[in-house]
Amino acid sequence: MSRERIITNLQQAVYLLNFAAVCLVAGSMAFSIFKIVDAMEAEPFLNLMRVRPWRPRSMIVVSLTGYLCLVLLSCIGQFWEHKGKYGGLCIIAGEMCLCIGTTVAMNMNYNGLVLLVVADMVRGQKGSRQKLILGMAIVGLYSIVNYNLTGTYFNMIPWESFLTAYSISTQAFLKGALSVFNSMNLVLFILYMTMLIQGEYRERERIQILNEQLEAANRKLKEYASEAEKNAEMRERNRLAREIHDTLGHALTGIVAGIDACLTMIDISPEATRKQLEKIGDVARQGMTDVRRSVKKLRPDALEKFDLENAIVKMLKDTGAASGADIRFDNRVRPLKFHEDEEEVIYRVVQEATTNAIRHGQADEIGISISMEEQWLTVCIKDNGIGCAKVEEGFGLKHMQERINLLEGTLEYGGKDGFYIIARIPIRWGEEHE
Amino acid sequence: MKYGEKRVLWIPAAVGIILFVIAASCAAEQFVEKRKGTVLHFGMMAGSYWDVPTGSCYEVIDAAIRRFEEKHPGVRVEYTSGILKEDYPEWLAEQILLSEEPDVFMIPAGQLDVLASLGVLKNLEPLMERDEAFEREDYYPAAWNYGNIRDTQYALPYESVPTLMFVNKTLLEKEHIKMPGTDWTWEDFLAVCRQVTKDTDGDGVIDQFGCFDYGWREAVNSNGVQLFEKGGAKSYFGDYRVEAALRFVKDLNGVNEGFAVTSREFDQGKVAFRPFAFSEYRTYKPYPWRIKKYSDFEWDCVKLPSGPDGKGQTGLDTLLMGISSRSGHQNLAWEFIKELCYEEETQLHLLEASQGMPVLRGAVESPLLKQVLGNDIPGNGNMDVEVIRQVMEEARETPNFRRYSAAMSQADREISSIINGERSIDSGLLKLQREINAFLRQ
Repeated sequence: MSRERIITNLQQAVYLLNFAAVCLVAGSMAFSIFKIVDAMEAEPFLNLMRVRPWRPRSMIVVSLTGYLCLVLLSCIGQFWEHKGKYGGLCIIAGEMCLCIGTTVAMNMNYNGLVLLVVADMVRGQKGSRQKLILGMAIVGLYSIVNYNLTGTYFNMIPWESFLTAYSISTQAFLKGALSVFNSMNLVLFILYMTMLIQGEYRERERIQILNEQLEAANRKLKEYASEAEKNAEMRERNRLAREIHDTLGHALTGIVAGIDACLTMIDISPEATRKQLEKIGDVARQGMTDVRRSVKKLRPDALEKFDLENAIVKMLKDTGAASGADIRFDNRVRPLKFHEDEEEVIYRVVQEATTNAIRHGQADEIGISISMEEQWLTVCIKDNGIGCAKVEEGFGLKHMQERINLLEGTLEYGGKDGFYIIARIPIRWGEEHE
Repeated sequence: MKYGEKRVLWIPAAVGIILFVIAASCAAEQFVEKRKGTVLHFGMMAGSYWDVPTGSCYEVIDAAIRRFEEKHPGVRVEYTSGILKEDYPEWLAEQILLSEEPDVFMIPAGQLDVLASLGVLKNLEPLMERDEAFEREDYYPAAWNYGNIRDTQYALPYESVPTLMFVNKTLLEKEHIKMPGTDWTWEDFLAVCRQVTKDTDGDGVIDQFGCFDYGWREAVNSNGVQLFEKGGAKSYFGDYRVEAALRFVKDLNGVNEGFAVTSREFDQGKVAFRPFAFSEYRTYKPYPWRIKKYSDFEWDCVKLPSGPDGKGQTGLDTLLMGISSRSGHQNLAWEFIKELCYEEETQLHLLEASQGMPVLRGAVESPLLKQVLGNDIPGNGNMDVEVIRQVMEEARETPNFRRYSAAMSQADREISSIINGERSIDSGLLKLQREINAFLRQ
């Protein structure tokens, strides 16, 4: 049998048991009045009372109606378990009122209904603040309906007084029956709570296992990522090696072989040597072209297709669209045309700085400006992100620094309130570029 | 837990069906009740409340009901007849337990405190306050106060009976003694008793006596002592006036030289005095009861003799009526209880048809009293109407707290042993006061 099924059965057993107990207590009280009247002992009985008992029929009708409404409300509460916080609270409050009312109708001679309400409360509670309220409510409810605590104050008539109407053996039977009901009720309550707590514990265990699985998957993913990176690096190295071997290796081999031939021939036939040297020159030139082509393959795609300015604009537009950040680009140098290596550094610096501003600075406004003073090109990137007091040089900044060092430029960065990066690069004017 | 499964729905369904049945039966009962119309139930005991024979116990009540029904068309008053006085407390208790008690009912003697503290009786104060035509000063204080518990009026007095002193006129005349007046004292009483107590037939045994049935309670009352605090929290048995009363009773008993007088001697006309309830006076004075009892001698009633600190007060027994706190017709019930206890016509009717005294000053002071008493006693001696008024005015109410009768039985035992000389009066009374106070505190 499933755990839920067991809980449902337990709940039904609790309902039925309490129904029997309510019938027993209210019925014995009401019936005792008739017995007293039949035995013509009403006057001595009344003289012993401190308060008049309820009308016999009212005792039964009120107790039963109160209890049945309580059960009905409890069922409704289960149907509505996940429908709003206040509905649940109202139902619990209603259950508490019905519990008190029914118990008072039975002159506080049976207080097992509290357990029923407590079970409903415990099932519905969420969060630790509610736990405190719940605890207080349970203690309050229990003390209200406890005859020994408050019964005398509320002028309740003890069950024993009603029982005097019955013979000794009937009294013993009734008392025994009620005590059996009480203990059964307690046992069922404990079982029910155990099942409920066990369910909660299992739920928690399940969540923990899921968490562990998730963590493991995450770890694996990270491993895959770094492996993929390594693979890519390896592939790139291999490609470079192949490229170098195919282009430079081929050209240099040809050049070395040609020069060796020239050295042998130079004394015999200077003319042939000159022709040979011309050929060698062709090979070297061809090699250079090949190297250039290879290097070109390493350049960013955008730079291949557009000029630097458009490439930067396109890249910023894509990044801005992807991250939602507002990126302004202020270019004061036109045309923005430099050596390929310089263009690449500029492109990479802008790209890396923008990525950093969004990823680490959580910036949503980034300003980028490029200006020129004599031969120094200044690229300035500033954002409105969280900045940082002490900059830890990560992979990105290090790369940037390395790239700029190659061009003999300088890199400056920092900022607490937002982050700024200023890169200065000396431009090789006059040098020819194709 | 989910209640998705079909078989679980039987609980709410069964609950709903039972609730519906309960609601339907309640509604049906309400409907039946409504069709019956307005009926006011009245609880009364048959026979006389005063333990005297009576022929027409329903006469006054029936007349009052008739008048009430005429004043309130559409309202019927019903009562269960034939419940004897000794069965009445049990009958009433049964009705109360079954919550079927009458709207207005007579309160059994000594039960007022119990019924009031059980919440059976309605607090009459709000009703009286609302009713401008109602004046509590119209009642004799002793009768009024008997319906009062802890400063709250729970019941109205209907009829009272004071205690008077029966005088055997024939015996006094034979001994050439004047009839006592209204201001006679213990000394006068004792002197007459000494004078008449003698052996008349010369057999050496006393056969004519001063008084019968005069006990310590009468002496204490006539000496102006209140034995208990009003709420019944403590007693005053140690009072010097109680001591004086006991000394007097002891002296009085001493006159008989140890002979125990019984009602037989009294009925034979051999006793001069006997404390007598007014109801017995009313019963035995007129024809035909007069023939049956006390036929050999002339007799009459006077006030009880006064002690040195009192005015000859007597205890006043009062029959009370109350309204059920659960009555559905509270205002009608108030009108009806007023018809019985506050309407002068009903109260005057009591003079004619009952053995008690009306509790309204207006009724007692009406000329009808003299006329009625005159009718009772054809020919000879007439009771002084003024004496009755004085007795009613000065009477002391019997305490009505719950443990009164138990405390008095305990006191009876102790005091009879004191009067018999088994214990000294002063220390015995102080001990009794301690014991009774301890009992009251329990």
